[in-house]
Amino acid sequence: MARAFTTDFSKKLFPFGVAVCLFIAVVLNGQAVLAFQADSLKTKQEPRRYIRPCIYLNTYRTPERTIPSQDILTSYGFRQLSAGFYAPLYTQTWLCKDRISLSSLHVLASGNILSVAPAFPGLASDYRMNKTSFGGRLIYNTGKGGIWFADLAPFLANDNSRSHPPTLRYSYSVLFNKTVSRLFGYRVGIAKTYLFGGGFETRTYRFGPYMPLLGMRIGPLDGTYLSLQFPREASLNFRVGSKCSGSVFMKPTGGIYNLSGKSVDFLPQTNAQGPVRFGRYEFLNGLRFDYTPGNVFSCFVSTGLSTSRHLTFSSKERAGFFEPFYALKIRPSVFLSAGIAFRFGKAKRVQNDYAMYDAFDLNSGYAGGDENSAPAGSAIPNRPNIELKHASKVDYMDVEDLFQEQELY
Amino acid sequence: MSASTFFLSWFRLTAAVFLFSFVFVCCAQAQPSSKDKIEALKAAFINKNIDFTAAEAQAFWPLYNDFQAKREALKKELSLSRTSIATINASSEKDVAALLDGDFVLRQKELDLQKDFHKKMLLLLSVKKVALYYKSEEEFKKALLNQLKDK
Repeated sequence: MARAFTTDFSKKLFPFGVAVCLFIAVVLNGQAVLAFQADSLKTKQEPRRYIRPCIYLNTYRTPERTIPSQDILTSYGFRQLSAGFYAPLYTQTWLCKDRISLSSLHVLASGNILSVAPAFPGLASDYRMNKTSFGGRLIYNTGKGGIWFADLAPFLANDNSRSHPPTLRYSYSVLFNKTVSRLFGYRVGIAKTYLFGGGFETRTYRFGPYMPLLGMRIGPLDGTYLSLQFPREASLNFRVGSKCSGSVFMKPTGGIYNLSGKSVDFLPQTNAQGPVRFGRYEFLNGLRFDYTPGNVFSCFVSTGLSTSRHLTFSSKERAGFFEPFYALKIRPSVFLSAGIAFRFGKAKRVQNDYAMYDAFDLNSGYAGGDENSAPAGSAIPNRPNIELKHASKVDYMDVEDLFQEQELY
Repeated sequence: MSASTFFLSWFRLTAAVFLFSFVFVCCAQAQPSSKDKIEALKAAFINKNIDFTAAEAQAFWPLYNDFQAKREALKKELSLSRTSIATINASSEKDVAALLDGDFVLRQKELDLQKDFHKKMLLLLSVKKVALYYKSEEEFKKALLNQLKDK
C-alpha cells in the first residue's frame, strides 16, 4: 500500500515539477505568459535584459537490447525525461573606462527536474530515479570580447521508493571565453561534473568529477561553425534557412543516480540495506535538427548511435570517486532524443554582437542540473540575406521610425 | 479503475491538451516582427559596407545596438506625443503647450543621443569609416523607400 502510494506520488511529481518550473520562469520574469498585449498608450521602454527566460522539456531513450556476454544483466534500455528552466534575475550594463565598450553582467536562476528509468531484468518496470536541481549562473561580458561564465547546480538525487534519504551533490563550471573575432573563439575553465557517472578512465589516468574545460570555435555562431568543447561536445553546426538549424555531433551524456540496494539485490555484493550509486555514461554520435517557427516556441529531434556505454554500481564514494562493485560495458545502440522549449518576453537587440552570441551559446549549452543536452532552439539571431528583395513584406508602419519627415519627399 | 489512476489519466490528458494548445498559440502569435527583420537587414547592410576590423566590430556593434534601442524608445515617445496632438481640439491650451514642449525636449534628447554616438564612433573608427556608416544608413533608407514605392 505504502509502496503503491510512493510510486503514484512519484508519477505525479514530474508534472508537478514541470508546473513549478513554468511558474518560476514566469514569475521571475515578471510577466504573464498568456497575456496578449493590446495596444497601449503607455510609453514602451527598451528591454533591460539580453537573455529571455526559457523553459524546456527534453526526452532521451535507448531501446532495451540484450547483452550477450552477461548472465545477470542480460538486457539494458534507458529512458530519461527532464524539465528545466533558466530566467534572468538581474542584468546590468556599463560603459567601460575607454568610454566606448559596453560591459554587462547577467545573473540567472536555473533549475532542472530529471527522471530516469533504466530497464534491466530484475528491476521493477516502474522504478524511477530522480534528480532535482536548483542553481544559478553568472555571465560577465567584459566588453572586450571576453566572457566569464560561472554555473552552480546543486542537486538532490533520489529514487521513487524513497527508502533512503536523498543525496545532495553539486556540479559547477567556471570558464573564460574569448571571442577573438567573428570566426574564432576559445574557452578555458574547470568543471565539477558527474557527466561521466562514476568516473572516466583512460589507460593512464582516471578522471573523477573534476575536469578541465578546453574549447575552441571556428566559424561564425550565426552561420556554419565547428565547435570543439572538451569534454562536453564536438560538433559541426549549420543553419538551414531562417527557421531550422542542424548539427552533427559527438558528446558524452550520463550521470550519477541513487538506487535502493533492495531494488538491485540480485547483483553480487549488493548491500540490500543501503543505497547504491548507479553511474552511467555513453558517447552520443548523431544528428540534431532544431526548428524555431516563431519567437516563442522551438523544438528539436536528435538521433544517432550511442557508443562506449558504461554502467557502474557502487556503494563506496570517496572524494567524488566511486568504487564499483559491479561494472559493465554495453554494445552500441541507437538513441532518440527530442525536446521543446519556450522563450518568453523581449530582449535587447544583439545583432552582430559576437561576444554576446558566445554568451548565449554558453548559456544554452549548459542545461541546469549537470545535464549535457541543450534546450531546443537558439537565442542567436539569424544573419539575414542583405538583398532587400527578401524583405518582401515591408510595411511603412514597420519602418516609419527609420525616417525623418523630410526624407519622404 | 481506481480513483488515483483515473486522476492521473485525467491529469495527463489535460496536460497534453494544454501543451498542444500552448504550442499552437505560440506558433500562431509570435512571428518575429518585420521591424526586427528590417533592423537585422540594416545591420547586415552596414556590416557589408564598412570593413570593420575584429576589434572595431567587437566594440561597434554593442554600441550600435544600444544606440538603436535608445533611439527607438525616444521615437516611440515622440510618435506618442504626436498622436496626442491629433486630439488637440479636445485638449486645453495648457495641455497642448505642454505636449509641444515635450516634443521639443524629446527631439533634443534624440539629437544629444546622436551626438554622443557620433563622439563614441570617432573614438573607435576612422573618420572615413564614420562617414561610411552615415552613407550606409542613408543608402539603406533609400533602398527601403524604393522597395516601398514598388509595392
